[in-house]
Amino acid sequence: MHISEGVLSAPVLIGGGALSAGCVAYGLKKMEYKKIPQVAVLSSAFFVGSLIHIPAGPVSVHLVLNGINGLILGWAAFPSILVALTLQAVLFQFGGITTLGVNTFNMAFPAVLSYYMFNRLARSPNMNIAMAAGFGAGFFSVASGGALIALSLVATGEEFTTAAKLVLAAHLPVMIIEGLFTAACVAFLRKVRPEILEAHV
Amino acid sequence: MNRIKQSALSFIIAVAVVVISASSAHAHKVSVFAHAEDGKVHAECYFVDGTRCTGSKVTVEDSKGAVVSEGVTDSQGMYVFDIPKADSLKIVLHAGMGHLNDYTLGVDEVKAAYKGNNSSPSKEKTKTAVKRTADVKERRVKAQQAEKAAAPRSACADTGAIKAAVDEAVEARLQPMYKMLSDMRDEASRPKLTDAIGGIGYIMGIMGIIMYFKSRKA
Repeated sequence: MHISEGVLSAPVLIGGGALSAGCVAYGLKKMEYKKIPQVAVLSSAFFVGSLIHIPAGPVSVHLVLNGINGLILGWAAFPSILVALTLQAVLFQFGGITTLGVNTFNMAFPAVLSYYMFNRLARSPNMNIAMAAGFGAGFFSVASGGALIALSLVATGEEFTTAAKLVLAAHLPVMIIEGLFTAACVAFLRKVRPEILEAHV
Repeated sequence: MNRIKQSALSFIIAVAVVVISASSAHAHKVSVFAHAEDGKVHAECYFVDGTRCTGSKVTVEDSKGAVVSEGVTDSQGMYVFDIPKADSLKIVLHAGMGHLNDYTLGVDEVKAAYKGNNSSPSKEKTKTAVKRTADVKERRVKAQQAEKAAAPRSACADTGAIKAAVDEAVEARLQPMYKMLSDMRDEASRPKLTDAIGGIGYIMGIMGIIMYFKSRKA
């Protein structure tokens, strides 16, 4: 889920950077004091989640964890994911510094969307609905993250159908695994710490 | 108290994730490693977990950025091509979905392999040199011409044969070294557990800084 240096054209890089900068600033402003440790922990999870590798046919993919980030953090997912991606770029050479803006937006924007779509459902008194919402958040965040990657590549000039097909095919297993993982997280949090899922946007 | 429990819980989750990841430290990044020998460049392409990039597009650029060779990797993630000229070669791997990496072979390495392949022009040069000296001698002593010209020519052929044999032997000895270097590079480019733990440390530090500034505002 990381776009390397030198793949995207300058307008795409600058556009992604500008969008991310605005959203990160908004996320920081929205971030409540008592929410900061949660942001840090979820940022850490996102940071190491990229090391959990899933072989998927000709390419290798990894856990993304942007769904659970968004579901719990809302707009604060932007600073969380930016920090994690920066450290991944510096320490693991995943992605790159120039693509940081685009990668942050591609990962964090679906996270924020999934907050609006699934957070209320994840707090539903019915446990089945809550877990389904968790699955939805994980599945949707990876799927739309992949769609945004395809879009970034297309904006640079890659042919749409090739890029979209490749990205979709490669991410289908991750979407399912990520959905199951997020559902398990939601079930666990609902049992032990239901207030973590409370709205703070 | 609640908050302490909450952060303790979150911390346990984070540690669990690290432990899981330590057993399978893999991810999304491509690498290229290449070496030149015998007029050819062998480029190896693989993902960070060691999976070979099969059927990936590879382009080769010279020092001016012009594309001199283009193709796809085979089932072993290898791309082999003839050296087009004695210049530094930048091998760029396009593994799709935004994955890209490159490896540059220095001018010296390429030149060495290039010369090795095209030994015939250098031989011709020595031949003409031999002829020239022979001409001089012809003018001086006609009777000794045959012997004198034959002697340096055979000596020349001998050194050529010796050079070829030495090249071959050294190449054979170096093969495992190439393999070892490529393995080491592969190993070094993988993420390490210490990096992962260090990264979490950074995140905690950043958290502390943000909390400090937020608390001053409040």
